[in-house]
Amino acid sequence: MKSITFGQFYPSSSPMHRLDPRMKVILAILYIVCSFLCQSTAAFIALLVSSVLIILLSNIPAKIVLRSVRPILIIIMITSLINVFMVKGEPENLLVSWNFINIYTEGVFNAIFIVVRIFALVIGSSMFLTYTTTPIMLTDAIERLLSPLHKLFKLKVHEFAMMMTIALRFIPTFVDEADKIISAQKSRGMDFNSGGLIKRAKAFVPVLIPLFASAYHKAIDLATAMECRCYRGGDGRTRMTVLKLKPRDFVAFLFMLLLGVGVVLLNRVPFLYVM
Amino acid sequence: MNNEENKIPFIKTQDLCFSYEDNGKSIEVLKKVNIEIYKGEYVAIIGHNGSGKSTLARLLNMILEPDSGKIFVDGKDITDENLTEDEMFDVRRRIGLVQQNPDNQIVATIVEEDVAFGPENLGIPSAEIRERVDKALEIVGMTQYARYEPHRLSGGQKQRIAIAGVLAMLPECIIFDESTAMLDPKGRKDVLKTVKQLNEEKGITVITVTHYMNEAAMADRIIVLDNGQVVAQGTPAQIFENERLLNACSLDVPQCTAVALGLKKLGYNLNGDIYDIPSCTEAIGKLLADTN
Amino acid sequence: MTEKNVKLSLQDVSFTYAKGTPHEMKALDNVSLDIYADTVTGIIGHTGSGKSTLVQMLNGLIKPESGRVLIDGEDVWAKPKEITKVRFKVGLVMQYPEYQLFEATVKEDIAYGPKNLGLSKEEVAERVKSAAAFAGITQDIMEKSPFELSGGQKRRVAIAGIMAMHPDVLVLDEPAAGLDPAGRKLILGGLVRYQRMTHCAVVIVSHSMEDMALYCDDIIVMENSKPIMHGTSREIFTQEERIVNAGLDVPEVTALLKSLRENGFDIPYGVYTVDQAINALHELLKQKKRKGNN
Repeated sequence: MKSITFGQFYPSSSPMHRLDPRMKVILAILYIVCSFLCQSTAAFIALLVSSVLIILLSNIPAKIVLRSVRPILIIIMITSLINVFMVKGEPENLLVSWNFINIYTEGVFNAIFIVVRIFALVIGSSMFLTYTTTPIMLTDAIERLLSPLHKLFKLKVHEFAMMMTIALRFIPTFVDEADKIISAQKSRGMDFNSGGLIKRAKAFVPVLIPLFASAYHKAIDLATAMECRCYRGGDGRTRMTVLKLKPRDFVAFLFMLLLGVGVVLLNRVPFLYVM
Repeated sequence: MNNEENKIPFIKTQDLCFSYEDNGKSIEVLKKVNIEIYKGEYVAIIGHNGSGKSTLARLLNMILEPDSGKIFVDGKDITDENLTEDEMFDVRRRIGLVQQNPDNQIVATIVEEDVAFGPENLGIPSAEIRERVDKALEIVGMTQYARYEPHRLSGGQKQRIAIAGVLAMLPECIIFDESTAMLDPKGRKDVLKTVKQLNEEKGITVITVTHYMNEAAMADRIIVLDNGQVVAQGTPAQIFENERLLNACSLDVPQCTAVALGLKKLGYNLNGDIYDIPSCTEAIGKLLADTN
Repeated sequence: MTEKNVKLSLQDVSFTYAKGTPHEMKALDNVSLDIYADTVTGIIGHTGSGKSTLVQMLNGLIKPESGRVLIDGEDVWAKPKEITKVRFKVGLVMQYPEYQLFEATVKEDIAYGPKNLGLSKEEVAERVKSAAAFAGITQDIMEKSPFELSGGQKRRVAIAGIMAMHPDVLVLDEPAAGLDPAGRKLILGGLVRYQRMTHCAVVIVSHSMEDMALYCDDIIVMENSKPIMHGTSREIFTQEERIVNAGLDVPEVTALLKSLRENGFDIPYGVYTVDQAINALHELLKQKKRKGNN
C-alpha cells in the first residue's frame, strides 16, 4: 500500500534526468514543433534518429519505452491505414489497384511519416517530461515558466501550481484511505462483485460518501495548517530551491535548435519522397 | 517557570467567548475564558472531548476569531479591528500550531519542501530558508528523511516533520492540539521528547492541549477546561490531588496518582507531591519506610 | 470457566506484503494461535509487529500465503467464493471506524450490515435497537445524520453497526484510540458487557496497557510477526520483564510497583489495576504494622 509511486517517473541519474525541468518543458515543446516541421524522408529519418538518441540519453529500458507507446498503437494503426487507402496521389504513382481500392506511393509514405511523427511525439513528451521528471518538479517548472504571465495578465499561476502540488501530495493518502474504507464496508457485507451494472455502481456509494467526508475533513485541516504557516498566496513568496540553468541545459537547447534547422534543410533534399 | 508577579504574560485572554451556529441554535463553546501564559512555560490545557480546548487553541493564533473578549500577545491586543494583515501573520509566525492528524497538515510532497513551506510564505531569502530547514530537521531528529515522501513516514515521524515546519518559522510558542492522540506509544514518546526538549533547551513556550493525564503531568502548569470554562489551574500535583473535580470533568487522574489517592482514602498519611511515577514512588516509599 | 473452547485458530500462517519487490515485508511468520469462545482477548504489540495483518487475517480480508485459518474447525479458505460468509461470522471494526459511516441516519447506518445479511425488516429493526443499546447510543440520536455526531458517538455507531450483525467473533482494531477517558470507558465497558451477554468471542487490539489490563481476560503479545506470549492478564503482567524486553510498556500501576520494588520494597508481582495495587499496598502496610507492634 505504501509503495504507490505516482506517475511514470523512472528514477535514474541519466543526462536527461539531470537537465533543468524548465529546460525540459521547453525542449519538449521544441521537439514537438520539429516533428511537425518534417516533410521529407530525409527529415523523418533525422527525427527517428533523434528519438533513438533521446531514449539512449534517458537511460530508460526499451521495454518501458514501448509500454508508453502501446496505448496509442491502435490510433497509430488506424490513422496510417486511413492514409494508405484514402490518399489520392499522382496517377503514375499508383501501386495497387483492386476493385475500388487504390493505393498510391504518396499514401504509403504518408502513413509511414505519420507513424514516425506520432512515435516522436510520444517519445518527446515522455522522455523529456513524465519519465525523467517527477510530477512535482514538472509542476514547479510550469509555475516558474508561466510566472511572467502572472505579472502580465494576472493569471493565477501560483495558485494553479499549488493545487497541483496538493493533489499530488494527497493522492497516495486517498488511495490508502479508499483501501481502508473498502475493507471496512466488506466487513459489513458489501458486495462489489455480483449483480448488474446498476447494482454494482450502487455498491460504491458506501465507499464514495465516506471518502468524500474524509476529504472534506482533510481539506479543513490542511487549510488550517496552511494558515498557521502564514500562507497568503503567491505574492511575496520566496522559494528554498532556486533553479539555475547549467551549461548542459544550454548545450541541450543548442542541439534542439540544430535539429530544427536540420529538419528544415533536409526538407529540401529530394530523397525518395517529399510531401 | 517565569511566573513573577509584575511580568507581562506572553499570551493573555480576557473574557474570551466563542460560539457557533448549529441548525439555527447558537452553541456556546467558550464562556468568558481568562488565561495567562508566560514566556518559557510548559502549560497543559486539559478537558474532555468537546470541552472547548481545541477551539481555545485555534483562537490563540487567530485561526478563529472570538465573538467577544480580547487576546493579548506580548501586551498587544490581537483582536483589535485595526490589526493589519502583516501584524496578524506575525502573530501566526510567533505562535505555531501542530494539529492532531499527522496526515492532514503536510502540504508538500517532499519532507524538506514541506518544512520550507512556512519560511517561503514569509518571504525569507532562499539561502536562509535552506539553513532554517536543515536546522529544524536536525532539532526534531529527521535529517536523514529530508528527501522522503511524507506518505512513507510513520505517524510519529510525520508529526515531527510538522513540528519542524513550525520551527522553521522561528516561533516563540508552539501549541500542540492533541498532537499525540493518533500516534502509537513509540511515536508518542518521540514527539513528547521533542516537545520537552524544545521547551527546556530552546526556551520555546509550549501549550499542549490533551486528555492524556500522563502527558499533562509533564507540564509546569495545568489548566482544566470544562464546558467552555476554566474550572481549575495549578501544578500537576495540585490538580491531580482533586480527583473528584477531574472525574466531574469526565477526566481521570494518572494511575499512579490514583493508587496514592486510594491509600489516602484508606487513612494513610502521604506527604509530598503525587503526579507521576517518580513522585508517587517517593511518597509511597516514604509511607512504607515509616510504617513499622 | 476451566475448559475453553477454541473458536478461531491460525495454523502456521505466514504473510508477506509486496512479495518479490524491494518493499517486501514479512507481516506474519508461521503464526499459530487460538482465539477462545466466550472470552475477551487482547492483542498487544507495537506498530509493525504484525497485529493489524493478523486482525485482517481473522475475517478473511487477507488470504494467508501459507497455513490455514479455521473457524469452528473449518478452513475459511476452503471455498474462496464464500469468503463473505466468513466475514459475517467474524465482524471486524477497523481503526477509526467513524470514517465508514455513510447513511442518512444513525439508524440506517447501523442497519446496513444486518440488511446485507438478508434479514427481515423486523429482525433488522430489533438488532439495530439492541446493538445501539450495547454501544451506548441513546434514542435521541438514532434519527440524526451520523455526520452531525461527535467523534466518540460516531465511533460507537460504527461499532454498533458490526455488533448488529451478531458475529460469533467481534474483532476491534484500536476501538478507543484518541478518545478521552470517559469515551474510552463507554466503549470498552460496553464491549465487555456485550461479550458477557452474548458469550461471543471479542478480540481487542490496543496499544493501551491500562485498558488491556482492565478489560481483557486473555492477552496475546506480538513481536516480530509472531505471538510471543499468550495467557490470562494475570499470567502476562506477572512477567513484566518479558513485556519490557519486547519493547512494550506495562500498565502504569505495574510500573509504579516495579519502581517501588527497585527502591528495595517487597512488593508482590502480577498487579496490573489500580484497585489491585491499592489492596496490595494496603495489605503490605497492615502486615508491617502488625510486625511493628509485635
